Amino acid sequence: MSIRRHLKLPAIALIATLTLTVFLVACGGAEETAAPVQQAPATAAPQVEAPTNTPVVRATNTPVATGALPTPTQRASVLESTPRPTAPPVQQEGELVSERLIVVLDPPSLESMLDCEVTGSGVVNYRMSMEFMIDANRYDGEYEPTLATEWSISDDGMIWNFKLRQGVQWHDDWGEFTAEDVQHSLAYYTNPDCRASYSDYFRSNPGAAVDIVNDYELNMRMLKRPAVDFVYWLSGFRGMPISSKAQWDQACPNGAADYGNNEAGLDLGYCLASRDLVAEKSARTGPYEYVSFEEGVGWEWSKVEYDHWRVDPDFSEIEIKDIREPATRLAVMQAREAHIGSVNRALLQDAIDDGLEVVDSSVTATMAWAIFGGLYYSTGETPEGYVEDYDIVGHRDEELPWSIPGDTGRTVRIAMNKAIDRDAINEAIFGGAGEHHWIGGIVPDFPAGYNPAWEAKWDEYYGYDPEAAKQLLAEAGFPNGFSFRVISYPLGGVPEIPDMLEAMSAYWSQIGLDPTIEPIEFSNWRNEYRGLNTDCCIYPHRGPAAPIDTRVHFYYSAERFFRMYTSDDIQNYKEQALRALNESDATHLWQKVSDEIYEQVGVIPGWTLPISATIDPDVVAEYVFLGPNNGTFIYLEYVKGVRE
Amino acid sequence: MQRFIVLRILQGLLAVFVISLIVFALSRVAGDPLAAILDDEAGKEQIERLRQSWGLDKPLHVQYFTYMRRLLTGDLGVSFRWDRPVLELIAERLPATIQLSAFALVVTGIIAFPIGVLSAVKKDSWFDAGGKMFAILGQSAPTFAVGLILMWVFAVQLGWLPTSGKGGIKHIILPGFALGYYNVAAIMRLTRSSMLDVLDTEYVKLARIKGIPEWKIVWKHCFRNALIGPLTYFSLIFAILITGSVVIETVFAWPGLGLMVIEAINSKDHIVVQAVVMLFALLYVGINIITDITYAYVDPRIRYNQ
Repeated sequence: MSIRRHLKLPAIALIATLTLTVFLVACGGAEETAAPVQQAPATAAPQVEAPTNTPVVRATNTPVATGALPTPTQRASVLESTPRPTAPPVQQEGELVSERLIVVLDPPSLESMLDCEVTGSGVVNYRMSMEFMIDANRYDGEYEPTLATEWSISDDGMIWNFKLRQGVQWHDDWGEFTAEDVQHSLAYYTNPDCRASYSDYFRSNPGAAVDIVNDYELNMRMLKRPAVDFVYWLSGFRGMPISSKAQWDQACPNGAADYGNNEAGLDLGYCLASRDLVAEKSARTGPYEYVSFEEGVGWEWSKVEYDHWRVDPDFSEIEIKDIREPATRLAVMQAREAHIGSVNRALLQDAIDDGLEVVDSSVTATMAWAIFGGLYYSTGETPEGYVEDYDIVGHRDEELPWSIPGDTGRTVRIAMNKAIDRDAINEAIFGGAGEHHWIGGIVPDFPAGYNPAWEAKWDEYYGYDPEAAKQLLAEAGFPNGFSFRVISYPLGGVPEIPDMLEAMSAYWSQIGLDPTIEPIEFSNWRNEYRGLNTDCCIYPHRGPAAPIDTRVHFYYSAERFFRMYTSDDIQNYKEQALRALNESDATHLWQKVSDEIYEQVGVIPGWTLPISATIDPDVVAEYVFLGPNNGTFIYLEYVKGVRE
Repeated sequence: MQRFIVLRILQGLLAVFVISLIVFALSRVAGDPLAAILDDEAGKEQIERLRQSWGLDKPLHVQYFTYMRRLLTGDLGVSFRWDRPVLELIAERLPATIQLSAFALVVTGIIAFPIGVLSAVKKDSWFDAGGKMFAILGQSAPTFAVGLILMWVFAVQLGWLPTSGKGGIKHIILPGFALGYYNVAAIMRLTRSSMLDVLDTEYVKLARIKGIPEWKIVWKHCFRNALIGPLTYFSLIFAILITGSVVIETVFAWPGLGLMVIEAINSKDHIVVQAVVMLFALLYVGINIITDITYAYVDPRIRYNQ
């Protein structure tokens, strides 16, 4: 009797142990989803192992882009506010399966309701509550009039005129949206302490100021140069969030006289005393309003009670769960505790196997590629002005084989590119989801700068041919190869980057090169490239799809710290293109920039990649998102729910 | 005794000082918060302005002394990431961590004591071997793996419990068990060896001769006497659980101090990382000092040997 009594609890414990053991064993034997390590044979061409699991099967409701995105100058034309039929028919009858839409996301690095206290991606958590002057259509990225109904640029490219939508209300009775709100928003967004990612564009280059014409019309004056790309920056692609002047002024009854200065004595341009009040609940104009936010937990939003001018959302509430661990986000989706989720690419097959669906972004969302470090043209100091006394021959580290001036360095760069079997890497590491990528950061989805003629030269410069690569190395004076470092770090949105570099290194080894992979913490490396100290290594990068003017600005400009590949010619073309006021001139000049990068084999092109959202098809009937905007998983106000 | 106490406190303070130096140095080596927080689109002037505003432009020793001066006045600084006083953040998150750790402590006790007792009673039996295996599995399996397996079984497959987050009692079961399971082995083994000692004593033999039921001998007479050793360690476990909650809180998205530290580390928020690590250090050092003093009070040989 006593033995039986003693055995009750232990028996349960033992059963639990055995269960756990079984699961541990099962877990250990699970199919490998991570990209394989490259172990190429010494003599044969390297083989990239295909993943052992079945390829990711995309859901059939993946949206298809309706067309290429507009060029910068096409976008500069006057747009009328015309309603555009965008959503395909979805059943709108019956009761929604759920009134609450739950979204599980990897939290951004900064979370706040204040536009100056988040980075670009940080606005994802409140995008459903806010509106930009202009937004990007979720199907094709075309501009959609939002708070601005029309816009046009002056002949000299220095003034943008905007007509504003009338009758738009701020949440919580903060009045009607007017031109004063835009003026305030720009002042707040360009205040000297603003840490928002894109504020520097509005503050410094080109810089902007608002002149109010009347309550519903204003001019934005460029301060330093013409800016035909201004609308792109103002729009939902990057975006200057619009906030309520009345709400921000609540603690400053005397207006600007009460605004105050920052610690350095600089004029802030907005009412600092209201900061905490606005942070508690920021009034917006969007279809959802703020309910709550808890650090480490997430956000809650509810549909506004009045008829919103733009959209009548299906779901009356939205909850965003902040979950950093990828496996947990998958589990949350599998347990049907959330309806839309950000699940890592490597785990998508598990989601699909469990009955979830995967929808890709409407257009190419991101790119992954590698960079020849040091292809900039100074000795470490940022040149001032647009064109300096620097050139490709004189100032870079000529010891680096890929940096040797003239044909030698270029030949090395071609050899290193031709050593890589991009198709194999795409299959093995990206599960076949990647597509052709021509130049770091420039994609055919944004056609300005893309040259269809590149296709004919692809095999010559970049096509996989290890024997030719060896031959080219010998021609360049490196028959026995050379040693170099490969800096490796994972990056958000493309966690496969370390595997990608490992595969590239394996291919380089096959042509006699001696790469050494050095894992490093990304922020440490970011300081290296910000300080122009990359003339040592190959390193990876990923970036969103964006128009060529912005990509050249960030990656190929001598006045920026990135300087992936720069030259006097590129600088000249770029400056002319930025000032060009007609489409054909601008396109011609951008073409010259991108042609030079392509012809000079300035980077190691990788792949363009979609970004995927996992959805629960029992609750979500349709979710369409564009992809390249900051804060990828947005457009939640347009999600269609399943009805029964 | 007073000399002993003063000595222990001074040793503790020295340990805290050394820890503060190490934490400060490591947090600086880990990366630049500006590089982590500001995107590539940020301008050079913007970066420099923020660097000045956060005091990161000053030499390291100046930053350290500023940090220590603030620490001594109870000012833990303002978080880079959250732009809020760190003390406020800790006050918000600490209750969740204490709640989880307390639950895990209960789980540890509920599992470890019975298995330890019964393993001793059935020494060298299949139960003893099974109990050991169960306990060792808990200690050898990575905590995150145990957490994920539990999540997969009980939340995804069976749907009995929520996967993550903080809510009602259901939310704490999986993270609490995953956190507590790790310490089961230590407590179980201590209990088992203590029980074996007690079971071999004369008064137990006498109790058996007197015909007292076995269950009464085991649970009433032996267990209570064998509990002293394990209980001492059991109290120390609470500190281990609080500091060890980092992984489990991340896996289960439990909004406590551990999750906050991970978020701060990702953002290179030195201020928060330093504050929380110092808090953990103080907790450890404090508990150790109290334990030492208690031992010295109970057993005079300890303080004389010092």
